[in-house]
Amino acid sequence: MRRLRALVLILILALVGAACGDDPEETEGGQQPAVNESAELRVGFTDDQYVLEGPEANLSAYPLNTNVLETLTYLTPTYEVKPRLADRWEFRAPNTWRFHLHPGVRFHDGRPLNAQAVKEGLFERVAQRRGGGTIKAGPNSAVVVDDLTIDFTPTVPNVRVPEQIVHPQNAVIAPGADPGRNPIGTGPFRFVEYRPKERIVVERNPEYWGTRPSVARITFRFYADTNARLLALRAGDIDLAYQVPRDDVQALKNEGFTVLNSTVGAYRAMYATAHGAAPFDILQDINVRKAIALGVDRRKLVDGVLTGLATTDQTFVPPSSLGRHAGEVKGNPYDPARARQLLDQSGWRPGPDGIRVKDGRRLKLVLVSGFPSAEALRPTPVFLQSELRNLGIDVEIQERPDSASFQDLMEEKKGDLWIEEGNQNDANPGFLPTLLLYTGPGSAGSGVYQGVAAPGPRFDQLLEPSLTEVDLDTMQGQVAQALNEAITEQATLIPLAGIFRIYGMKKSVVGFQPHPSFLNISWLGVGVSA
Amino acid sequence: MAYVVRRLLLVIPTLLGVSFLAFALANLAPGDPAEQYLRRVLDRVPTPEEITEARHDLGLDRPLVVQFARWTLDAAQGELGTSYASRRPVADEVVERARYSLELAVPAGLLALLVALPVGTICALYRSRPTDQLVRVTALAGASMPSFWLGLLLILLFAVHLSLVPVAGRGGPGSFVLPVVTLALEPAALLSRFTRSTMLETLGEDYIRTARAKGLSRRLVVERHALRNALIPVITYFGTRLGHLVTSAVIVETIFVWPGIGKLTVDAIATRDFPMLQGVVVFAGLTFAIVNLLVDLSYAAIDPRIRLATESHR
Amino acid sequence: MNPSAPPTEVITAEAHVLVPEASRVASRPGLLRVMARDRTAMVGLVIVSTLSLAAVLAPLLSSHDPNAVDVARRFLPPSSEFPLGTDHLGRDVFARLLFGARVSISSALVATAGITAVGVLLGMVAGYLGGVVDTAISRVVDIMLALPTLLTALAVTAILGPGLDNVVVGIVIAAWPSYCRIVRGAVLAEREKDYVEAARAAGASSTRILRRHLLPNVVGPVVVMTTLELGITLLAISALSFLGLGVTPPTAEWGAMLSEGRTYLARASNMMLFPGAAIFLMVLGFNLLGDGLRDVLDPRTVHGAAWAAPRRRARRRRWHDVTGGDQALSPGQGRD
Repeated sequence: MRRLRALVLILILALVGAACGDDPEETEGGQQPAVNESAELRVGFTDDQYVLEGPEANLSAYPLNTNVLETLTYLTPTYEVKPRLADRWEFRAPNTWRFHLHPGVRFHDGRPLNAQAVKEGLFERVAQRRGGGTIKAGPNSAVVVDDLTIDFTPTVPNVRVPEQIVHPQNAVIAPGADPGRNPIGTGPFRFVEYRPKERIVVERNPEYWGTRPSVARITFRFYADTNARLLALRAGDIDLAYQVPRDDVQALKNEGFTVLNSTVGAYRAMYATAHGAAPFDILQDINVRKAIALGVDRRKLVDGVLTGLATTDQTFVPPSSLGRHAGEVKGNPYDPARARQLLDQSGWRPGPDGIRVKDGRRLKLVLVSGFPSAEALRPTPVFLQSELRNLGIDVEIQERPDSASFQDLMEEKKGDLWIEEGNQNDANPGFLPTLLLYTGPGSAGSGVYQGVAAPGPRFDQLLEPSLTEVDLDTMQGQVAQALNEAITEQATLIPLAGIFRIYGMKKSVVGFQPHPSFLNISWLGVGVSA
Repeated sequence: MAYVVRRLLLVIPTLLGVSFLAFALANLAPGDPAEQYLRRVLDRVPTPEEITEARHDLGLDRPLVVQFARWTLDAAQGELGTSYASRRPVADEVVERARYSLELAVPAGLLALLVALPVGTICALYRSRPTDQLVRVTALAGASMPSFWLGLLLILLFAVHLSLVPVAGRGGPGSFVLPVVTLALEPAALLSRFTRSTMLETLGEDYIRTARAKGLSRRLVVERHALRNALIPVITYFGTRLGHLVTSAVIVETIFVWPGIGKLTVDAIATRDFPMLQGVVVFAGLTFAIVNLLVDLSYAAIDPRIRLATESHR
Repeated sequence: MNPSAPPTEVITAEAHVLVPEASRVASRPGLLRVMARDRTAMVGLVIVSTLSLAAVLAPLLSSHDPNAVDVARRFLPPSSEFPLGTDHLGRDVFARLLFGARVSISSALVATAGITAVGVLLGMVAGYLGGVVDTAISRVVDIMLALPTLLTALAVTAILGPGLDNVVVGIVIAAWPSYCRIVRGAVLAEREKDYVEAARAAGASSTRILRRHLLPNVVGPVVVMTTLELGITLLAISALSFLGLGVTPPTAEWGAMLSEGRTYLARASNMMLFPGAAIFLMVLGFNLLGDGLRDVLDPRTVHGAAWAAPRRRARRRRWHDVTGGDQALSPGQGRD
């Protein structure tokens, strides 16, 4: 029975995948046109956010990954972890991960990649960061076992190291190289030149240990402004653009461009303030929370505002990162009648202007928008305002320019609903639920999100075993159950849409694999047709 | 000489004031600077211990007076702290970006001058005739044009529809055209008006009237005497405009995604990178002070009456 | 254009020249009649009043709710039902433009009123009292003027957080000093005049002298400046709003509409063209009106006196002021 359900689920997922706009396979496959070996590819990225100084320095790697540096493992577009610089790895109780490195790999300066280099160029570098980075590295965490074997023991138990180490912040740089000025790695491309806020240029590494890169050179240009980036693509200034606005996809296709979208790599969701004080106490009432979850027409949001380039599944982490358990997060399907009924039940009755009233108080909620930025989320808040008005809920929108000011407000619990778009950049589906919503034993987050939207003890009980579960599939199941509690039962987390990454390019660009996480794009097979 | 010294000394209180404004900026901002800093660095919400540690590292646990004194002394040595966003020294970044702003400001200023001088002169000569009226209204329209709209109109026409130049970003020579034109419009409009009124006044001076009375041709009078005399204030005025162009190209650089000081300012605001914002404020104050100083000194050198007037007044 | 700061300077310059004539202004008869003959001023007046009227009558002129979202009718081109088309949420651009006029114009009025109030008050106090008070106010003014106005407004608004209220506060804080300096100059010029001396000798109180004698005489330049300032302020508000510091959605406001329109530049240029045109027209209206008013209020330019009368000192004085240099050459000194 269980196997059958899993099978059906896989089928459904496959269908959803196929229905998601363009098929990514379109430009791949056997009959690829001849590729120009000496071509230069020009790519338009978003803003330049490289850090050039200190232990977080990450030129060429994060957030724009130019494939100069490589990680031990990497993340596939379906959120699987695959070998890269490490051929295999194993967990050694109580708290050690052993990585077996790929033999024969050399840095761009000719030095060999060995356990000592990984120790210095990865683990000791990460250990200097505050808190030892996401993988929790300490000064003595890494131990060289032999030339190609290294043991890593995080400062606190961490069973998700292989899933987290895919993040380009954890890339291996040649020992002694300056990660903020001259990144020397093992990747398919070598660093050539960087001009802050303007561009970064890389060239083919002819001695790359894997397959030969298809293009000779890639120039990445920074366009902080989405519109400028798009217009640059149209004007022929660039061959490929990240983050194409949904509204322009159809027009671009009509103009002869290829537009590819990834699978779901981000979620757009609201947190409901379930633990607020007056005047932000209305959503303490689970009925009102559920009414909101039930009362938003996600189909209309996806088709109308997000131009069909999103999914309506009520997701918080990309479904594929939950593996076969994705379907276990049910969500609250659109049901405005039931929503109204719940509001009635709680004593919120329609007032003269259509807004509900209870004991002389208007049903007015403050919706705060600002993560990653208010601009990125527009115009979704206005759409939600209009949707909730139909239920008799008055919504005031407050925009915060960036995530820091957004979280400041959340820390003070000065808001009822909090809309965010968060990315999943590694293969650990438990990371965000644990960081943001978990309050049980071993909770390591700051408590800001928990302060407004912690779903409660049952959620904590469901999630707790996942913190120490080494087996990925079992862990995915535990996280899925916990998310179902937060989303479907408690509605402190109200997902709105699963977001794709959309890339636009000239027809001449071939072999590009749209990745749901920007950070893990591979430029190896991307070419320009001759 | 005394004037020069006095004028130089006057710069100091101004710069101190600017430094105070810049310091106050970050301290008036809501939220704990240490926490803001950590959120940028960690990309997550920091723990209380981390905040205490960072507060100490950043010197934020000291009295405000000490912090201000330290900030000012550091600023005087060109030490403006470290950007939250790029984690590079603010001073380095500001200087680097100022270069990009100058790349736009200098040609825009020259373009404005090239347009404004002949236009203003012609208007003055043909005062109250249709040409003058037309140019005056055009100049007013130019001064009323929101640069953010003009920039978008130019992009729509020349980059999107005609594909003649790149839409945005700093690239080849073509990428300079639209931002320079957009940036030049306002100073061109203002300079035309200024040239016109200065010319009108010069033409009213005794010696011009005398020259005319002596029978010199109108053209000769304008070219030999009037233009040259009117040019001094116009050029000086242009100097002050140049300071503006560098520091307040916020809008133009945003629209054309130009990596100059203006863009840096907007980015610093969007990411609440307060050290960077402070740096920009100090830089703007310094630029203004220097430009004004040069303008005043050069003007005093040209016209000794100013020097005398100052000295007798004090 | 970089709103606010630049024009202020020129105005500073020219309004200064007005000062010596200011005493005549108040007694000039038939201001409106003279103005009616000035074509530019009339055009400006017509533009300003038409747009203001449209703002007032917004609900009558459009049958659509400016905030009614309907994703089924996004990006419609202009039609009889939607004269200026619809935007990315299917809202009527015409209705939003009309209701946006209310927000844009009224916030410009409020900000300008604030600037004028603070600037005139402090300027008069500084100019009349002199001494320590004058030095203190003038120093603050100097420091504030050492920074580009837009940058100050931007920084203050950034600290206060986004929102139209904060934009208005930021602009008032950034723009009062140049006003203050001009009013102070005008007061200094008047203060030395015989009739003020006479009033003082007759035992009139400071407040009385300020209110009865000095205020009426700075009204002329202030009226011109305020009219021009309205345009500058509108531009500044739109600019800050364009940069995302202004109104919160879904409020319609011209700068914010333009900012939204920028995102859909190629797709739906109607979203960008109309709000931009509205800002441009309104600012042009204020500038034409202010320019015309100046012509009317400044006898030299009306009667062609500039060609005849030597104005050497006036020029020097004005000149120095433009450079933002020290206050040594007060307007009072250079009086003819």
